[in-house]
Formats: sequence, structure tokens, C-alpha cells
Amino acid sequence: CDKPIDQFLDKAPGVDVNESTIFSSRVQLETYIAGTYRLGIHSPFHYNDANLISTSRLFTIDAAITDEAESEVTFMHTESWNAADITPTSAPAGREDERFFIRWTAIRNANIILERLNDVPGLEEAYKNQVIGEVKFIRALNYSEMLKRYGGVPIIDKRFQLTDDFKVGRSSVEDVVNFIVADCDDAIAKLPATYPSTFRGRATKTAAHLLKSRTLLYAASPLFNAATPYLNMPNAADNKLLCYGNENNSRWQLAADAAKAAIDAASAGGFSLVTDKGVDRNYKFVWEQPDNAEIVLAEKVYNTRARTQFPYYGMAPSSIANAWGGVSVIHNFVRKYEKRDGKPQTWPGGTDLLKKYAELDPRFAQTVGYTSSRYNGDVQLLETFQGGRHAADCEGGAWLKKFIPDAVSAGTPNATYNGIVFRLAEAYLNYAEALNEAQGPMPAAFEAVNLVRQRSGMPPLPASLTKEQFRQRIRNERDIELAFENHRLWDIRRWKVAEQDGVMQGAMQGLRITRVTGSTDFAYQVYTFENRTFLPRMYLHPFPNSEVFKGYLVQNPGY
Amino acid sequence: QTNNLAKYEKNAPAPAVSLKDALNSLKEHYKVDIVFGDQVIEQYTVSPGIINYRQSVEKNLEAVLSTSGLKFRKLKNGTYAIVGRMSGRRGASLGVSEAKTPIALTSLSEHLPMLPQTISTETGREPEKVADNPVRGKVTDEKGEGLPGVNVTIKGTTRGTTTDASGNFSLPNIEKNTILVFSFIGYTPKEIIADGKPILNVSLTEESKSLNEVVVVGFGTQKKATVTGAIANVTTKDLVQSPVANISNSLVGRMPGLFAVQASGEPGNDASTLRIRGVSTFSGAADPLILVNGIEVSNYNNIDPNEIENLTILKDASATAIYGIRGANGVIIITTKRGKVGKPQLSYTANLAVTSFTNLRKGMDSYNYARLYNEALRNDAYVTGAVYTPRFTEADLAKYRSGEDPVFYPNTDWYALVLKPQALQTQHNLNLNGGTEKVRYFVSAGFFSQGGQFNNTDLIKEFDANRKYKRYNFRSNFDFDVTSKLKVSLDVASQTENLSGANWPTVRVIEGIGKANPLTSPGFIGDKLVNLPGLGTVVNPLADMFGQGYNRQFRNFLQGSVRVDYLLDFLVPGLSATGILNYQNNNTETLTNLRPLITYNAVRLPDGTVNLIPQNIEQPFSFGQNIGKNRRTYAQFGFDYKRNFGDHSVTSTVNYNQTKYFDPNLAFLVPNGYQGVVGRATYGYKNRYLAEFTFGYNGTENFAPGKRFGFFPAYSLGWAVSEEPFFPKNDVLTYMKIRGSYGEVGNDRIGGDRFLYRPSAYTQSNNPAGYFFGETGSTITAYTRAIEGRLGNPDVTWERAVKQNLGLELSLWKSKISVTADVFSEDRNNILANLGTVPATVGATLPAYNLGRMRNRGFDGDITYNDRIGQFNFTVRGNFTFARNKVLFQDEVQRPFTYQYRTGQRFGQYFGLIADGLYNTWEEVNDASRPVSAWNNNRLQPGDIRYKDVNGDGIINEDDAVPIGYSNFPEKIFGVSLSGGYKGFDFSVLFQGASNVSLAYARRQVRGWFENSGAVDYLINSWSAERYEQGQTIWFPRVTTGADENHNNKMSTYWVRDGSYVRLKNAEIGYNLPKEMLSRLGLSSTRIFVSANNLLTWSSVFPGVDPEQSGTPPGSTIGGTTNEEPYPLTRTINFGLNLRF
Repeated sequence: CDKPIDQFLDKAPGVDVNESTIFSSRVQLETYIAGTYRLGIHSPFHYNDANLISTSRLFTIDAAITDEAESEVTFMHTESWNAADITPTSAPAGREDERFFIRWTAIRNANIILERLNDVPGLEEAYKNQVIGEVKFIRALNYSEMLKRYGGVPIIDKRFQLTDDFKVGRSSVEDVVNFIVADCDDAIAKLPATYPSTFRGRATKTAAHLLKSRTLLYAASPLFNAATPYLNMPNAADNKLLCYGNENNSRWQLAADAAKAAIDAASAGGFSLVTDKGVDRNYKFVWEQPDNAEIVLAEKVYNTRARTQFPYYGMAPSSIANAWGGVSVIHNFVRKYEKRDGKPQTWPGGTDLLKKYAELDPRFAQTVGYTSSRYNGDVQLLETFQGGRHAADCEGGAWLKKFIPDAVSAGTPNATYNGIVFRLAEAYLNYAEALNEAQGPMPAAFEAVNLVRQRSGMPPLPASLTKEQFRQRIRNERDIELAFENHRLWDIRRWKVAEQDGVMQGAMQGLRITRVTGSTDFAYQVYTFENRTFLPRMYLHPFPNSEVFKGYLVQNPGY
Repeated sequence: QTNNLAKYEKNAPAPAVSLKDALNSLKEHYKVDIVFGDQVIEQYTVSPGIINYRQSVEKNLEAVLSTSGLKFRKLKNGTYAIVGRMSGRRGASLGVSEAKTPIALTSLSEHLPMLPQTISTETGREPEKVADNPVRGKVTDEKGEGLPGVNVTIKGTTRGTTTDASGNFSLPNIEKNTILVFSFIGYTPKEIIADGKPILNVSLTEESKSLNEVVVVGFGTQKKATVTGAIANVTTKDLVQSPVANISNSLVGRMPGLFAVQASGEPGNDASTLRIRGVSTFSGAADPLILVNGIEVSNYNNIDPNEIENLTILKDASATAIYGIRGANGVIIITTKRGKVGKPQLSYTANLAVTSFTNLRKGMDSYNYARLYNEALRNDAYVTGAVYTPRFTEADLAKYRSGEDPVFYPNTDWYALVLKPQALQTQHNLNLNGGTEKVRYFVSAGFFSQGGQFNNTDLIKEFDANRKYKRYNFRSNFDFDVTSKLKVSLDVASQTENLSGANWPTVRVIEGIGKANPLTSPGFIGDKLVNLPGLGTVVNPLADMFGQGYNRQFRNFLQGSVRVDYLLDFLVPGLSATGILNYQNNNTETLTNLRPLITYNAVRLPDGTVNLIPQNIEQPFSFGQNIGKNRRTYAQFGFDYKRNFGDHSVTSTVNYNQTKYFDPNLAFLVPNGYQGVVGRATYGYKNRYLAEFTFGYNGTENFAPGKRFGFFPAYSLGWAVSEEPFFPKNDVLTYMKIRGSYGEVGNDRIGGDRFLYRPSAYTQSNNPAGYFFGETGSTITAYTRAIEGRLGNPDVTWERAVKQNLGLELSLWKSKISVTADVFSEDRNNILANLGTVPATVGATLPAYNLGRMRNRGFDGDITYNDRIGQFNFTVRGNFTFARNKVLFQDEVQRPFTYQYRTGQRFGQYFGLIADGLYNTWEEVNDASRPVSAWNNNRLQPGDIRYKDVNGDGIINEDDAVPIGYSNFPEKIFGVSLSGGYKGFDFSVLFQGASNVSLAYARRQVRGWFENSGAVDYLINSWSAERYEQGQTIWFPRVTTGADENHNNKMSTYWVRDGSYVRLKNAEIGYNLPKEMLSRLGLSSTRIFVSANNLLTWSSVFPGVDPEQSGTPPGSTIGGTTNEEPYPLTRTINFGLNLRF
């Protein structure tokens, strides 16, 4: 009898969207899938989007944690890393991993879709397969992003109900790798090779291949593919959360096979290396032009962005865009560029800087804004010499140009950024590296790396390289080709070279550039602008204490 | 059923009725208080048919008193006092000995201990001399109106007289130095020494603290003497004393039990955060429920204080349980003025005020800024292992110092460029009050305007970036006595507000001033705003102010109420019915216009000339519009019952009420609803024993059917000890009441979430974009995304607060001193809270659970002292509140050390390291026993903070963080006011203060140089080797450009400081022009006054920082990482004029 009274307080029926609504039609389901992409596709850039990550701020790119770069401003998260100020109390791993919390929401979304997909009436089998493939890909991508940061993490493969025991502990590295690979395999089987152009940006078979390739490459690398971890856990049984617990060279073969499969799948997916813009333009085209043939998957949270917004604001020098993030390219990185003849460049100091620059790999000029070069539409002549207009805080002696397209300038402040998650060149480099580790410098390994070099006008690697020499060259090639694309930080950790002098530890060098009277060239001096610290514990991120104190996570060693 | 009316009208002839009975009948019928001395009226009778209930109470009073010659007088609080016989028009002297009826109020004094001492009827000694030495004069009230019926006696004798209808009196044979006592019901008595002059004019002030006072309680009013709950109030007089826009800002320090913190001084947006008896919950809202004339409103701050009769806070459960689920945080009831019978009275008030900032920091000059920047880089280089590269060369420093190149080496004072020292504020109010027996009206119109203190706000034509606030208030309250049984009240009120200024939030403007450094812009060159790129990020707060355009906001709030009271005496004597309908409508329109400001970059050409390059081109205004609206409907229907049976008095009220609130921003676009049945029953015996029961039975949308209604009872008892026969009559303790209450109140809210019981709702959003699919430049399309909402908890139910209160009310020395004191405790159970230990791996927002417990205890009280010295009468009031809370249970994570638990601490307790000074030498830093710092890679240096290693593990890290200080919301708050009058002058001052509060400095209050930020001038007192060696003042650790992650910048006792303060909050001095001057102008009174707000502040915070402005919301523990710096508080100096016609 209290019905009429109660109705006053009831919610009007049918006005809200609940889970049943989402799984009532394909149209509704698509909105949930779009939301899952937004949460789950990682970006090489940091966000400034409170709608996505409530704590996000304008951050520079992670290259400044590595020997690629130095951040212009001192308050960036990269400075904490360089001073080894990474603690479990700061935001997830010193704000590098701001996606820590939304990643679990992405995984939950994927699990809910897998659980409820069959409830949507009238779906074709092909579409269902595509959706399963997409969300498994997204789930695997999120696990692979966690694996490289934390090692083994809890495997959550179904949605939690309120009555469940939430405290699922970490799984071993091996289990997590297997979990990712199983998801990838299923995604490879179910995903389409291509979509209509209106669906560009959705996961394809090739993307799943590349994810599997990257995961197995990381799994085969010394950090995880080891009998003992970089630091021992207090409880030895927990060491498996950090590494396999044994070293097995066959993991490299798995990685090589996966990379090969990715390369093979690419052409069916319509992906190819960009080779038709000229050897001095191909590379720039790849990073400047979104959705080019080489991009297998890019993050697309936004369409166009203003130069005062993420991600440009975190990269452009303040002297050019009055931005916040200028990324100064340091000499530790510049000296990795070979000369155009494939020989190393020497930097003894002198008055011929522009001449030295001119001799470098064509990719140098397409990556680095150096003094006297054209930066973009705003700056025709960059001045990073002492007293120059763009010299303030340019400790490395050059500014990062990659990722700041010509199209973004004061005159045309908006442009679409290219948030590369996977591009085909990575598959060739993965293949070359893994094959060399598995079987030594096989011709197929040379062939793969040379494809990447040759499209940018670089000569093939000498066929005489030993396995160790090939390893060094392929690692160098990876740094040059994939520079600033958020690979280096993870590569140097998985290779366990971060502690080496000049990588994440020790002297970071820059060029002090001065004008030479009576000459158009510049004098340069290599100098150390900073000594960085790397602690062994930094081979993996700490979990935030706020989570560890909940009692379900074993903290990584040293924190 | 016997009908009173019939009794008197139809049963005649009947034996004569005693005047006392007749008055009691009137009292009961009209529900008014009529006070009289038994001896005054005992001899009179009236004819039974004389009362005509169709007439007003006043007509009836006139009628019943007509034969006796007694008169009545209506006091401010609505009480009628029957006063002695007045002398005739001629004002002939009338010795008490001649009077048939000495003004003897013995029995009254029992009820009204504050009334003047009874004039002794015992024969005093006769005057020795019978010389004709008369004194005559006039007794007036505060407004200068003559007071009839005032007793004038010679102290120590029975001789005296009363004043006539105009307030005049005359006494023969008064020698010099004779003491005359002037007393009148409801007024503070006065003793005046005759100075030998024949004319003696006296002004009496009304006794506001009379126990006869009627106070506002939930859903009604009660006599203060019968109240058993904890209630405090302020009246219009106090409210209009503060020259502020916002009512909440005039309350602080005025009432015991009320905490207020004002965080911002921004025009139109400067409301204080109010908390009644502190904070009792750690989740959900802690805001009190705000009612205007009994009806919940969304915004009360914009009401014109001139419209307000009274503002009451209900503190304990006996007062708030009747509001059920909404009363947990206490209730504030604002009662507006209503019309009174009488000729129209027009009152006009005008105020003109100048506002200025209470306190402002100063930026560091560019030379010292640059010099210390280099020093900071040198210090930081040690930490990072970098090679120290100075940012400024010696030549640069020399130029900054000399100022020889003001364009490229400027020294810009952003505080002066962005802020101006003063702004104007004006307020006008015109109100009309009056009425007849049938219709009474109060109509008020007000205008308020407040200017912002931003400077250089006209850089874009037709665009005034200054923050401006204008408000137009209108209210009309009408009361109609339609029949003798039916009363209808019609209230209409509207507030229209116009806000305009830069679209850039003022917090960002203020933040920008602190952020701007003195050397990346020379400010203006000519009329061009110039930047200097190349020195790092340019921060130009003036340019920023224009960057988001200009906005104008028009807000209108309109509300109307109809209230119908119907007397049901014919059914049950004392019964009446009441119905209320209320409709509120809020409209907001925001117009934004944007036109880029053209700034210039300065470039020096090779020939030395300066070229200013525009950074933008002229563009037309763009514009946008945003409309907001909401509405609320409220309906109430119920019954009241009030009757006395001999010494027993009984009242009860019960009603049904419901609210719907419509707002397009509400989740699911579903209006928000509440409904409930509430009631109260009181019983009193001879005003000596009091008992009360109240309840609220409320339903909310937030819980599942079956769980959504809650019953909230409260019980209270009162004992007026001084009314007991055994209580010795004495002049010291004249009144004493003890009261206690126990009750439960509820809360149904956590954050803004709704329908907490329902399964998760999804939102589908395309704004901002969901996700893009398609190829850039051709097929790219935004796709809507769906987001899973908070999960539902079907079991969620009430958060319950158990409130207990024990109170004491005292009157001492014939109410010269009155004291109220309360101790209280509140226990919140089932607090609607979020789980704190759920792993992030769940990936969903979990629902609210009823799982928290919290306690809040304390005491509050006030003391009032009234007295006079000669013609100087004064009142001193003090109030004090202490409230301490403790979180008893919350779902908290496991912490490594017990001292780190938040549970068991006060809500919002700061945690941090204990700073034990600084390391001053390398020996101290290099000491092997020094604990290792977890930050800066342990590369400490002299000038770094020395922290205490609390857990003794040799490492300083977050594990050493302990509770430090208090929270950012005070535990103690107090106010002391002194007011008084001398002849035509009146004055008041209010000191207000708070303590047991911590201030965590905002970043830029104590740090500079980071993020290319400016630095406050007192950072010159940062540690340096030279300063240390020379023994100079050191306030801060070594300078750094580093951010929050640095060793020195960790939350510690270094940055969380005592935030106690005392303020001269308000002061006023006024003068009433003599009436003689005014009557020719047709004015009945004129008062001119000067008032001021926030005149002085005493605290230990850094200069230029206001202790209330930490920039963090109450309860926040973020501390020093915040950038937020609100618009500073303002000091107001106001000149005003009040005219009454």
C-alpha cells in the first residue's frame, strides 16, 4: 500500500543505460568498445586529460629518462628518474605510469565484453569474432604494458563480482607471458586482416602479431629470461614474479617466429614500409603523417590537438612555442648516428659542427632540430648556439623535432598527432634481434635490418658481423630508428644495460656550441651537463604503496 | 465541543470575568504572549462579552483594558506587556503613594527574572524636604520614540511615577545626586544620577535576551524559556553590521557552535564554508541544511541581510531530528522580516564602502631573483650531479641590479600590474513595513555592487576583465487575515545577480601573479604588453587573464510561497492546520566573448633599437552562450496543537512534506526527491519541567524500496531549577535551566551519486570525444564511448548520527549576565563510505557501504554582560566553541607502522615528517650517523631539512611521517563582541579567532624558481652559507628549482604550521541624529555610521599570507602541493546612512 508513496522516490523507468542496455544491440555495444579503446590503447605520449586520467598533468616524453634526451624544465617526472627518486610513495613509478589505474578498468571492460557478448542478439559470427579479437588484443596489450614495467602481475581474466575475493596476487612472469600470448593467438585467429578505412585504428591481425612479437622479444631478453632476477626477492619463491627462473635460449626462437609471422601478415593487412618519399623524407613521413602505410596501430583519443595541448606542449621548446616541455636531444644519443657510409662519426671537438652533422645518417636531420636547421613553420633557422634565440635550457645542444609536425605552428596551431603504438619497422628489428640471439647472424636477420636502413639511405650492415657485433648494431639501429617512440626505456631495461655508464647512469653529455667568427659553421665542445643515477631496483617499477598496503601485492625488490 | 466564541458571545449575561482570565483567553486564542503583573490586574474585571475574536488581539486588548486604565505595549518579539496606568495628557506628577496601583510585578518576576526589580511597596522614608525642585524629561527607546508607561523611581524609596503616552515624565523635589531608576518591561533598566538640571532625557535599550523571546525551531517557533534543544541565533542588527555581500561571512564569531572559514574574497564568490559544531563525517557532505522561512534553498548567501529578521542554527538532535535525513549536519534557518500592524514605515539604507586586500605578498625583485636562481641551480646541480651552469651571467646580474635596461632586464612588479589597491562597494536597501489588522506587509528592494581589484583590465576594448558583482534583491512578504480563522501568507522573493569579468578563473589569476617572475616580461612598453621569449616559459598573468575571453553571468533566483493557516478551534481548541507550497526557480545565463589579446615580443635589432613584434592579429570577438536552470518544488501539510491546561501546557505538530528538485545536471535527468512525515510534541509544567519528543520519518531515492524510509527520533528534557519553590530567591542567580537531549539523525548521501542501490548505470559520452576511428584527413570520426558507472549496493542504508547534548542556561545579577553552555557528543555510525582496501585490479568504482564510524565531541557556550556606566550602556558578549572529532572506523589499508593509521585521528589530520631544523654544515651532512634520505638520492647538503627518523631505521622516508599539527579546519573558534551606546552614539566591535588549526602553505607561498616560477620576497630569508655564517634570519631551507619530489619539499612540520589567528573582524560606530532636527524633514530617525570588516589580523603565518587561505578545501590533507591561491580576503571600510520615515 506504500506504493504510491514509494513511487515519488523511484527513478523513472527506462531513462538510464545499464549493462543490459549495452548488450542489447550492436550499436550500443560499439559505444562500449570505443570506450574500451580509449582506456586500453596506450600512447607513446603522456596525457593531459583529466577525463581519462584524473591525476594527469602535462608531462614530457619518457625519452628524457634515457640517454636520448633531457627535459628542458626541471619539474618533469623524468628528473625524478634521473635522480633515482623513484619511490613507492610517489604516484605510480614517479608518474611515468599514470595509466596504472585505468589499465585495470580497460581489462575489466574486456572481461565484461567477453562475458556478455553472446547476450547481444543478432550478431554475425564474423563480427563476434572481431570483437573477441579486439578485446583480447586490448587485454593483452595492457598486460604486456604491465609486464615490462612490473614483471608478474595479477591475472584477472573475468570480471569481479562484489562477492568475490578481490585479493588476487601476482602471477609469475611466465604465466603472464603465456596469458598474453594466448590472448594474442586467439586475437590473431579471430581478427580481420583489414577494415574499411572508416575503422582505421581498430586492432587488426597484424597488430596482434606485433604485440605477440614484442611480448616474446621482451620475455626472451635477459631481464626476464634469467635464472635469477636483477635483485632477489626477500622470499626466494617470489623470484618468479621477476623472471623465468631459468635461462632458455629457445625463447629467442619463439620471439623470432612471432616477429616473422608479423612481417608475413603485414602485406595481407595492407601494411608496408614507407619507401616512396625519398631516402631523406621516408622516415619523417612515417612519424609526421598519421595513418601512413607503416602504422599498424596508433592511439586515437583525439583528432586534432593545439600546439598548446598534449602532446605537443610536452615536447616543444619554450623558446619556440612558449610550451612546457622542450626535449633537448643529448649527445649520448647523437653520437649513435652513423655516418652515411655506415661508419661511426667522431666528435673530437672543433669548429666544423655543421659539417659533422651533414655527414650523419639522413634520419638524424629528420629527428633532431640542430642549430642552423629548419625546425618547423615557426622557426626557419634554429639557434642553439650560446646566445642564440633557442639556446635557453638546451643542455644537449639540439632540440627534438620528431613528432612536432610542420603543420603545427603559431599560424596553424592545430594538427593531428601520430600516436604510434605499433609500426611495421619494429617487426623487422624484432626479427633481426631475436634471430641473431637464437641462431646467430643469419642472412634473414641482415635482410630484415637492412630493409629498414636502406629505405633511409643507409648502407647494409657488413655481412662479416659476429653475433656480438650484430647484437650491438641491431641495438643501435633500434635506438636510431625507433628513437623517441617510447622504446628505449624498455629496451635498455630488458637488455639490462641501464646501469652502464652513459645509459641511465653516469655522465650525460651535450654540445656547447659557439659561433665561429668569419665562418658559417660552429664550434662545439662535448661537455657533461649531468650525472645520472640508476639503482638496480629500477629495472622494474615499484607498485604504489597505496596498493601494496592493501595486502595483495608483493612489492618489487629494493623498494 | 464548546466554542470559545460562543461562550463569550452567546452566553451573556454572565458573571463578570476577571481581567486575568480574559487576558489568558486572549493569550491562548491568539497564541501570543501577554505578560502582566498579577497585582497590577487582580482588582479588575471585564464584562464577559467584551472580547470579540473576530477582531485582532490588539483591539481586544484595548477593549479589556479600557475600564482599568491600564495600557499594553507590544515588544519587538511580539509579546504584549500590560503596563501600569498612565498619567493624563498633562503628565501631572503622580507619586507612587497616590497611585491606586503601584507598578508591582512581583508575580511576574517569577516568570521573567530579567524584568526590573519590583518596586517595593513597603513604605520608604518620606522625602525630608518638600521643595519645588522638579525634574522633567522624556524616556525614549533606541529609535528615539517616546516610551509610555516607564517606571521612574527614586532609588531606595517608593516614590516615583510613570511616563505618559509620549514618554514624558515629571517628578517634583529631586535633589542633585538623587539616583533615578528607569525601568520598563523588556528593556534594560537604567540608573541615572540627577545632576541638578531640570531636564533629564533618558534612552532605554531593549532587552534582547529576554527569556520571553520567541526562538525559531524546526517547523515552528517556541518560547526560549521552554526550549530544550541547543539553539543559537543572530538578528538583523548583527547581520547588517558587517559590510559584506555574503551572509555566511557575517556569521563567523557571532554564534556559539558555528564554524566558518572564508577561503576567498572574490566578488560574488566569497562565501564561507560553514560547519555546525565541526565535522562529524569523513565522507559525503558536511554542509548544514539551509532553510529560508522553513524551506530548503540552494543558495542563501545572496539574500539581502536587510530582509532578514533572524538567523538561527539548530545544533543538537532535539532541534534537527525533525529534519530526519537532512539534519545530520545541523540546520540553519533564516527567517525574513514580516509586516507589523501600524502606519507604513519606510526605511532607506545606503552604504558606500572601499575594499582593499587584507594582506598581500610581494614579489622578489629581479636582481635577487636572478641571483638566487643561480644559487638554486648550483644547489640542484649537486643533487643531480650536473655541472653547474649559471642561468644568469655576472653581466646579467649587474643589469638587473642597475635597472639600466628596463626592456630586456626588467624588474616587473606583477602584484602592482595585476592588482589594484582598492575597489568600491555599494549597497542600498529600501523597505516598507506596516499593515492593518487584516493585511500586513513587508516589502524590500536592495541593490548591491562590488568591484574587483584587478588592474589593467581594459587592454581589449569593450572588455572589462575586472571581476564585478551586482545583485538586485526583492522581497515581499504579505500576511492576510482572511477571516478570524484563516490566515494566508504570500511571500515572493527574487535575487538577480550579474557577474562579469575575465573568463579566466580568479584563482588562476592569483596563481599567475605568484607564478610570474620579474624578468620574462617588462610589462608594458607604452600601451603594449610585452614578453621576452628565450628565458624559459613566459608567465604573464595579465595576458593569461585575457586568454579565455570575457564572461557575463546573469543569475536569477525566484521563489514564491503560499502558506495557509487555518484555525480548527471549532473541532479541538488549540488545533490549527497549516499548508505550504513553495516553488523556486533558478536561471543562469553565461555569455562568453573571446578576442585575442595582442602581446608583443621584444627583439633588439643590431642597431640597438627595440622592435616589438605582435604575436597575434586583430580578430573579431567570438561568442558563446551557456544556459543553466533548476527548480525546486516543496509542499507541506500538517497540524499544530497548542493548549494549556492549568499549569500544564502541551504543544504538538505533525506534518507531511515532500521536495522535488529538477536540474538538467542531475544524473539520468531524474529529479531528486525527498519525502517525510515529521512531528514534535512538547509538554511543560509551570515552565519548570519541560519534555519534548520530535521525530522525522523520511524517505530518500538513494536506497532500495524497503530500506529507503528511516525513523529518526529525539528526546529532550528541561528543568528550570530557578522556578522551583525551593529555589532561594536571590539577586545573583536569577534564572537557571538545565536541559538535555538525545536523538538520531540521518544522512543518505555520498558525494553527488544517486540511486546508490541500483545496479551500475552507464554513461555514454561524446564530449569530450569518445574515441576516433578512421583515417586522418578523410574518414576520421568520433565515436561515442560508454563508461561503466559506480556499482550498486542494494543493501546500502542510512548513515546514522546519535547526538547528545547537555545544556545550562543561567541569568545572573538580574540578567546583567546571561550564560548558555552546552556539551555535546555525536557518534556517526554506518557512515556511507568507500572501501579503502579494494585492489585497483577490480577496475570498477565500488559502491558506497555503510561502514564508517566517527565521533565528534565538544562544548560551546556564550556569555553576555549588559551594564551601563552613567549614560554609557554596553554589552559584552563572548562565545566559544570547541569540537574535536575522531575517525573510529574506516576501511583503511594495512600500514607498516601503527602511528601511520588515519583511523583514530581527527578527520583531515595532517601527516608529515618532523623537521628538526636544517643541516648547517658539511660536517653535519657528512656525519655517518645521519639518517639516509629516500629522496634526492641522499645527496643532502647544508641548508637541507633535518628530519627526525621516527622509526629509527636510519632512513628518512614516508614511514617517518606522523600526525603533525591539526587539520585545516579549526577545532576552536571564538568571538568577542563589545557594543554599546552613549546618547545618540552607538558602536560595536567584534573580535573573532580560531585555533587548533594548521595551515599547509600553498607551494608559491614558500617556494620559488620551480617551473620558472617567480618567488615571494621573503624567500630572501632562505638558507645560504653566507646567511648562516653571518647569523642572519633563516626562514627557509636552501633555494632550489626543484618540485614536490624533493627532500625539502616533503610534507613536514616545516610547511604545516599553526594557523591560529585573531581578527578584528568587524567594527562599527553610528550616530542617531537628534529627533528634533528630523521631524521637520518628515523623518522619524536618521542614523549615520561607519563600519569596517577584517580590519586587523594577528597570526603567526608568513607576511602576506592569510591564515584562512591555505587554498585547500576543508578536510583536505593535500597540503603544500597545491597551486590554488584564492582571491585574497578583503578589508572593507564602509560609510552608511539609514533614514526612516
